[in-house]
Amino acid sequence: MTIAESLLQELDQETQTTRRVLERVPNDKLDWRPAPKARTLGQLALHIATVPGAVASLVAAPSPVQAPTFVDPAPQSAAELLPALAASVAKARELVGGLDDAAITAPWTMMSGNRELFTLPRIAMLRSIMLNHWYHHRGQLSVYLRLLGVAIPSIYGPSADENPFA
Amino acid sequence: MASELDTFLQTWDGEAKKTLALLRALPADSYDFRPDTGGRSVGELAWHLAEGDAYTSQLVEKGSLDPSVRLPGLERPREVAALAPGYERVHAEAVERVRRLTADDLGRRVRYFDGSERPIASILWEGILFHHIHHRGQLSVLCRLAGGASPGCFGPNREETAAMKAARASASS
Repeated sequence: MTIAESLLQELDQETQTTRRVLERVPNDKLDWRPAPKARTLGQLALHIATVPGAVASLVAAPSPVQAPTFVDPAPQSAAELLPALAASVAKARELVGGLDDAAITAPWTMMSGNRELFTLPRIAMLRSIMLNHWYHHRGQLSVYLRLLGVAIPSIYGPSADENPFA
Repeated sequence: MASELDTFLQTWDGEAKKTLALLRALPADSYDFRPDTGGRSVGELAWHLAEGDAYTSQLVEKGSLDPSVRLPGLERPREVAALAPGYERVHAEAVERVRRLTADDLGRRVRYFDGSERPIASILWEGILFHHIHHRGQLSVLCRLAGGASPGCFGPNREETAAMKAARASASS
């Protein structure tokens, strides 16, 4: 198995979990935020839906790439979330799937204008920003949903508050 | 190329450093803060991060583990200031266990908490690391709700983003 194939296997599995969480986002609460400066529910959910494709587009591009400007778009409707996730994951599959082991382990540089921000192997960016960072925000979304009284599905084990270690 | 075990240990180390930064940023009085009455408090959620490292690394080492067994050395600290040092100790012990694995161990199947037989490699990544990142993401929201400033984890946090924007604005004016 190539490195890309192994990452895509993980992406596919985690996409199923992410879909189960995103499909519970209530349409009438998209503007809700847990704190005044926090992302709204809609912003956080759309960010999660679009991370894989957005990160893959950056990382699969020829190095160096310019740092993107971060914007936090909000969806008009919760019905946008699952199609956005499907499109984003399809794009990530196509772009990451096109990276052979040489390309995926090659150094990749992000610039801000003429200044180098950092250089890392592409695989490190995909591991950290496409995947780990995705799980981080999905964890945050699970708190938002709980605070809104929405039951959340199992993510890495029994959900709700069954603490097997208690 | 780095072995999968090395890659895992390196990734885990980087994530554990971020966890320590978040634990140190928890407001001193937030231990019992519980915004979801059916969910974990700040102290419970923070210590769940240590429990995950300890229980799952011992499951990997032993080949199976009953999660209802109380493991020694894992009593939950009762104040915020003790959470980071406690996590640091428990994490270091877990790393030592995982470090003793060999490349051949990674494909070996052991019994996971849910009763399924899984390769050790999949338990390391999913059972230890992704589970950890997931709950740490939750803790970052609780830290904010308790009045703290969660540090940047995979990028700049809110305050750092504002500072960067201000710096760019003053550079271009």
